[in-house]
Amino acid sequence: METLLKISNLKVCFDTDDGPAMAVDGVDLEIMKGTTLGLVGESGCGKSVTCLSVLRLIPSPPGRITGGEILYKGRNLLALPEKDMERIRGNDISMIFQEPMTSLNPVFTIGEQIKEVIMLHQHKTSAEAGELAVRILDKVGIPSPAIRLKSYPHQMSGGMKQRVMIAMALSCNPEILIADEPTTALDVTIQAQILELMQSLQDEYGMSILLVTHDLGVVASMASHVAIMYASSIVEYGSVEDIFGNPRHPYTLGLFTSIPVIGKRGRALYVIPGNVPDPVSFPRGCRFRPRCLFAAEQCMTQKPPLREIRHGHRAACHFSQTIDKYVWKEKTKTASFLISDEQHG
Amino acid sequence: MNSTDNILLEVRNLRKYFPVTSGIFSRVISSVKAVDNVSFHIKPGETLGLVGESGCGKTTLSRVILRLAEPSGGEVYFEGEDVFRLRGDRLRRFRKNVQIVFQDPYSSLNPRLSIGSIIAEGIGAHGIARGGKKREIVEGLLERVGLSAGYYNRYPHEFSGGQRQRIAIARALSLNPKLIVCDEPVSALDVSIQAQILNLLGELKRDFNLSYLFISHDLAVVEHVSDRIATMYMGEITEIAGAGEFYSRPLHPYTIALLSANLLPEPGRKRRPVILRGDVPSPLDPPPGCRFHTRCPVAEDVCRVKRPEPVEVSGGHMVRCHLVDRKDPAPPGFLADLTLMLHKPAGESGVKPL
Repeated sequence: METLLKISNLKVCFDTDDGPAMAVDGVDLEIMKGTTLGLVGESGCGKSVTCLSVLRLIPSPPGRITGGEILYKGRNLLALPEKDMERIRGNDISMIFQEPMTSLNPVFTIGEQIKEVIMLHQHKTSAEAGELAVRILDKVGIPSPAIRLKSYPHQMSGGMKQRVMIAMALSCNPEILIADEPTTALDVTIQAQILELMQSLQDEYGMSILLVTHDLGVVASMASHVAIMYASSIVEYGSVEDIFGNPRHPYTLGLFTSIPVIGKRGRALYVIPGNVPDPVSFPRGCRFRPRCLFAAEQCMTQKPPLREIRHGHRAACHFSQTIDKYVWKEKTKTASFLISDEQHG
Repeated sequence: MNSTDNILLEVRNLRKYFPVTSGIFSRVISSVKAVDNVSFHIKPGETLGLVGESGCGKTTLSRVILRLAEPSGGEVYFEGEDVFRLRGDRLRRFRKNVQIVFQDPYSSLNPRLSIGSIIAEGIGAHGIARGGKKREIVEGLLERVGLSAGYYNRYPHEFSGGQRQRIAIARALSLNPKLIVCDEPVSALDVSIQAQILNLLGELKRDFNLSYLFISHDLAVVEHVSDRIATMYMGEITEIAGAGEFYSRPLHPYTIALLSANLLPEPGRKRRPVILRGDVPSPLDPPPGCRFHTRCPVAEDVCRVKRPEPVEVSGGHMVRCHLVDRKDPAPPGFLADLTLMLHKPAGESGVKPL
């Protein structure tokens, strides 16, 4: 499969009052043509900063990209002049954000905002752009699109606004769509509609999607590959079957066993002890060590690299050759801090 | 029925309408029926989960029950007493017995009060303890919810979201309540923190024999914590069933749609059809007949004109749908097949989850 976007050893630093914070620290990712990569992690782990770096939208100051490469069709995006980058944004790589409520400008109509994008990137006249806008709104399932063009954002529901955002992002037929928590602010029934829409647009246009989310159900149903991010680095990467069926990093295992799943009422929820570390002062060695059940001497001193376990499946743990879901089950069965939910018998 | 001992909270035909006004004289032109003829009960030590999409009236319902908003009609009985008639001491006792934990721990704690004063406020106001004794109780509560007693003099901004939610829970516990309304208590938290709070709520329920009214939009979370589950749509309860039955034998099209839209963390599972099209209709102009018929995939003529009444199909399983037969209850139309599909394990190509 053709690699469309390749991020290597990306480093992004933010200057804070407490010192420099490494928001992204040595991230490697690949996006294949026509597939979806799910990027999973908790808030503050660096998911969004990674996305913004791809488009070079890191607010600077305080942020700066301090190292690495982002190769798109053989060109390093980080080395491009701003003028070329402007052409990449929207035309080649587009982004939709979590909050459709705040990413649309409240004082312009939907039509004006979509037309602006089309006119800027495709050098069309206002009339042509208007026609195109109607077609694309129709495509994303907005009823009576010609009338809707005259609506203001506040006149639309959250799901409709997210459809408008998708329409704007797709108006120039990008090769890559970066979707940062596109359904987090939406109700489940609306989420189902938006995911279905993204899937059908991908099938039709063959675009690649970088889907950022903390929802494992969304990833399982959408992604072909998954990267798990923790404390500014990727801790596990593989096909969706590898990650869900045979997770090998203790953080991934902890994450999967800490979420309630329908139909498994009796199951106790595993609690990952402690809190996410502060990017200003990460622990030495492995960053997951203070919260890890398997932490050993070695983890104190050496930060484990992202290493291949099996074909295409990588994990950043010194012991990922031996840790798997069976070892995990055994370990958590005896751990005393695991609070069982006896209420369900 | 309201005087029976094994019912803690009983809600009967509860209504809350918000007037919609227009013009300089604020003439009332219509009303939004945020809560419309809602009835249910909660037993001691029981958790009732309440699921629904945003704007369906979940939060308004909880506010009316807590008497934070005046009802437009209907009754609420707490331990057999009519809550809306309570005055003076008896109202104070009710307020002590029913507490709430809000969704957003960033706005529900006063930033200018120390953690100790936040938790102690109710204890002082209800004259339970003073001085050193009061401090002792608060420190005990802090430790009970998994925080250090040494946090007494610290302020909310020093804590993370999960810790703040623990503080909010300690505050709710401080008056030794019988019922705690949890309004989306884990929605604002990360998954690993969510598990901590859910486990804590489970332990507290066991230790103090608490009852919860647990409101959430997350079906998986609700199923995990609840003994019984109710779904709400446009101000009405559409189905109530025991948690096991709710999952294994859902009847209302809306419940099935919600279960179908809930994505399981199991790749390789056949993509479920998207059942619900469109948005929730405007509450200003609710559809005639069944409120759900505009989005219902199996709606028939009767649904467009006549409003369904709640029907009890088996012990404690209530459903509000014309198309579900009382004697031989089954999900209407093609939804019956879909319901079977919900329980099928992921296919051969699928991945066996953890």
